[in-house]
Amino acid sequence: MKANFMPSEPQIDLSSIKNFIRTELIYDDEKDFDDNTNLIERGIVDSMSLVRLISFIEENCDIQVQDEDIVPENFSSLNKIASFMAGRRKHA
Amino acid sequence: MAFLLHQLLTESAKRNPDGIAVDGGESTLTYSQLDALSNQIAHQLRADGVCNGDRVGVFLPKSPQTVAALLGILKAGAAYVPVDPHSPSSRASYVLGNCSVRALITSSSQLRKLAPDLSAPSEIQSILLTDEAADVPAVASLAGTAPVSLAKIVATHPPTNPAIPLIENDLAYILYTSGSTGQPKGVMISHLNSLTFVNWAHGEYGITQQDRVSSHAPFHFDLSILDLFCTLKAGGTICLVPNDVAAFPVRLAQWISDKAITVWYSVPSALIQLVEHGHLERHNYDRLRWILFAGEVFPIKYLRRLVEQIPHATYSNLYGPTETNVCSYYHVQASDVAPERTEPVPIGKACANTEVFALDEQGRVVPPGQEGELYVRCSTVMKGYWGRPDATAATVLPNPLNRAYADVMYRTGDIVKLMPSGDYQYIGRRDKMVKSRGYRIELGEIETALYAHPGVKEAAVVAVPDERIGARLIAYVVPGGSTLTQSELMKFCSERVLRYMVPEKIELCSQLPRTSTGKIDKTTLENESKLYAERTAN
Repeated sequence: MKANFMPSEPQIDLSSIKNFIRTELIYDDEKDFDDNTNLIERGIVDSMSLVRLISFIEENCDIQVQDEDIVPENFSSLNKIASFMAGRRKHA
Repeated sequence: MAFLLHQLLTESAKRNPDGIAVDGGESTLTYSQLDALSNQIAHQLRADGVCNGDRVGVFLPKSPQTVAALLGILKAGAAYVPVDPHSPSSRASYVLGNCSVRALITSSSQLRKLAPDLSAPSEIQSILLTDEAADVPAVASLAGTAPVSLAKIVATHPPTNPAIPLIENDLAYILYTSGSTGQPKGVMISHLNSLTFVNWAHGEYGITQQDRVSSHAPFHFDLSILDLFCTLKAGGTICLVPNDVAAFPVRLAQWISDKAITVWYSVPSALIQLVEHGHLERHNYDRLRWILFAGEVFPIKYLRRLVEQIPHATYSNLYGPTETNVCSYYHVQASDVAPERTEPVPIGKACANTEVFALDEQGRVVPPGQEGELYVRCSTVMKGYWGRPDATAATVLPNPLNRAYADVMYRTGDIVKLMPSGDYQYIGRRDKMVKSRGYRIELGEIETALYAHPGVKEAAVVAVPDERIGARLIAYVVPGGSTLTQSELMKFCSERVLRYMVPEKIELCSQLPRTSTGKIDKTTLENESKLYAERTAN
């Protein structure tokens, strides 16, 4: 039996971020808002909320967000946020 | 000579028909296209029964078509009422109902958002959609009339100007601002009010057909008036900042360079984001000649860094509440950003055709070196607050220095100091109004929203000063029962007030501190919230 040397995929716990967005940014329940919802078009991610979302991610997920990371490709949906964070953890 | 705002477009369309009037990124409109489309929208509104002086709501994200909608409403002889496209539907329908709009220009998806709250009796008799009506809910007041799409409007109506007779005192638009008694107030601005400012700014900043002017502020915010109408007057290009650019400093820095923006106008907080996270040094801003800012204090340390990064541009601070458009301005000098300076730049001197003066508590004009409350006399002063003669009478006052004939002045509520140079320096507010990212916030409006919740026994909202965004809001609530949660209250609040007014934290407590006279002790709460803000500084 082969020893499992493969590092497991970084586990990104989206539920805490989802919960943060729901309770602190849109203050709404899950309806009308899923992992692929475009958060920018919906007005959920804007200059006002982005600063708070980033500091939440930095404080709670042990990820340093660089200025270059702050682009729509990384923050336009929950899935995009998850891929960004997974990428960051691999490089860490 | 134009005496109505939309005549600025008509005249520029004759001079520069093929020039780009609005650059929306994915789509653009030339001057002749914008002129024709707005004429067709005006014909539709008139055909739907819109009359001179009626109000027409606009509930749309920014796009070239939205600009055409604003101009079309003006050409129909009506006043446009722009509503924040992300505002809670209850607030949007409050605004639309408050000034009883006759027609609404929106999109299918925006209408679906609004529909549950429009079921109450409203006076909306026609709905214009920027897209094809898809899955659109029925609106009771339409009495069976289907919303009409822009494509149908273009196919139906001639591109010629309906040429509705109006005078300069007729209303051009109503902008809603936060109200201290809990409901937003509609600031009524006439064509003359707006054009007096537009003509001054057009001349002072020398806007030309070659200019590419940023449109960063939303259309319900009065900074948008310069972007839209000064540019249309000049025959230049209005460049709409896309949503997926505005929030991302690195992208915004690149966009300003790529779009060859020549005149930038925004609240300072947007510029602070660029200075801190935009990496401005990577781009070429040779064409950027004016950086204009307004709406809040620009902390000098950030302004200094911006001037260092973009040294060839000229910087100007514009000042004025929505009720007066802009009434004073100050061009930043090199000495203002000297390393040792700590105070912000002044709000400056009166614009042309404007008088500003500060009065002390006895109503005497203050001498240099003294503080007083700032008053404004100018044809830019609003016609009043919609349906609120009481609120209007509290701020638009007879000028005590002139009793010979009817002459009004606007009481700003801003405390200023008259400097020896003749410039005014902003000191603070007389009342409890605070600003966050240039938006006016009455803490009373938020408290009223919280009190509307049956489980709230007591509520107090305090603002913690924050040099990057102006203010952070913290609420303290005493629940009447035991089941109330912070997230439930957040949701409740967000359904009633605009996004920037929702407190970032609602602290539930068993009681609120009191002063010796039994009032809620806001000073203690402010100190408490400062500690919270320091712990969670971004």
